Amino acid sequence: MMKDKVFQWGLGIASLVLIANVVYRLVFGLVIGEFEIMTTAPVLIWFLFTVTWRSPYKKEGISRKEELGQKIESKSEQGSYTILMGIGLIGLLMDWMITGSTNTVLIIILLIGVLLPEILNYIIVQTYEIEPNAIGRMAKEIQYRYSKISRKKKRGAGFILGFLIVMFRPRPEGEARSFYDVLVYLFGEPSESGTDILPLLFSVAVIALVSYLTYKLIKEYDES
Amino acid sequence: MDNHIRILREQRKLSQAKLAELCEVSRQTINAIENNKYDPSLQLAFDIAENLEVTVDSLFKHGGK
Repeated sequence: MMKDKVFQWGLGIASLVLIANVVYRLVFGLVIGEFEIMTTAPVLIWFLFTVTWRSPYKKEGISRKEELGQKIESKSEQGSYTILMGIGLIGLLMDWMITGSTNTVLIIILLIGVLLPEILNYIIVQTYEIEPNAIGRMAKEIQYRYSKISRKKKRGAGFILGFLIVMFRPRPEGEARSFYDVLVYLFGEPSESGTDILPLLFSVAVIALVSYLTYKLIKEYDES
Repeated sequence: MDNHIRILREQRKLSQAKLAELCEVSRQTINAIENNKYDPSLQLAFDIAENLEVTVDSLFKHGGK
């Protein structure tokens, strides 16, 4: 029990430190780059996961996999969607009030957000029809094929996709702070001759730590 | 939907935690069902009925529409 509490406190403190860093950067007008987002978001998600659901670190509580857990998740997703749409709308209004112009991309996203549930409703209703139309038949086929793919494969595909996005993302010059910038900040510019061992070791350590934390998170999810 | 699960459970001298363990759910799930905060799925209703040694229909009070 003591170990569970220590783990939860550790994650909580790490989350607070990372959030404080983002707030500090916001307040002082510093750049909030991908490095901040990529470190803060996973730790915060892991912390919330650990304090919410039953896991090896929290023996008592609702499991994410049981039916009440799934109902709670479904409710949260609906709530998140509504809040997200509200934030988008407020953002659009604020943008219009401050700059006098409207953000076209945001309008398109909001429009898709409004239309998407109706489109999905139409498709799902078609799958329940006694004689579904072509869209309904196609959706049923996709549902069937998707259900045949194991969770492990889906998760693996998700990781590979995430990894590819991170590796090959568009990088506008000087816009986002990346892991490379952190290496330069810590160890200086790379020398032209020879191999710098310290940045290499640091990178290996960070990759190993991220891999270990990811493995623990997956294991925790499986055991919860 | 109202149910008799609390009464049936207490008659069999089972705690919420024990019934939850038998049905492989959390204690919170049994508590939510007993307090009518949550209607169980058919699968869980059958599991509860089996562990309380009653039929599924005797678990619930159907008050009509």
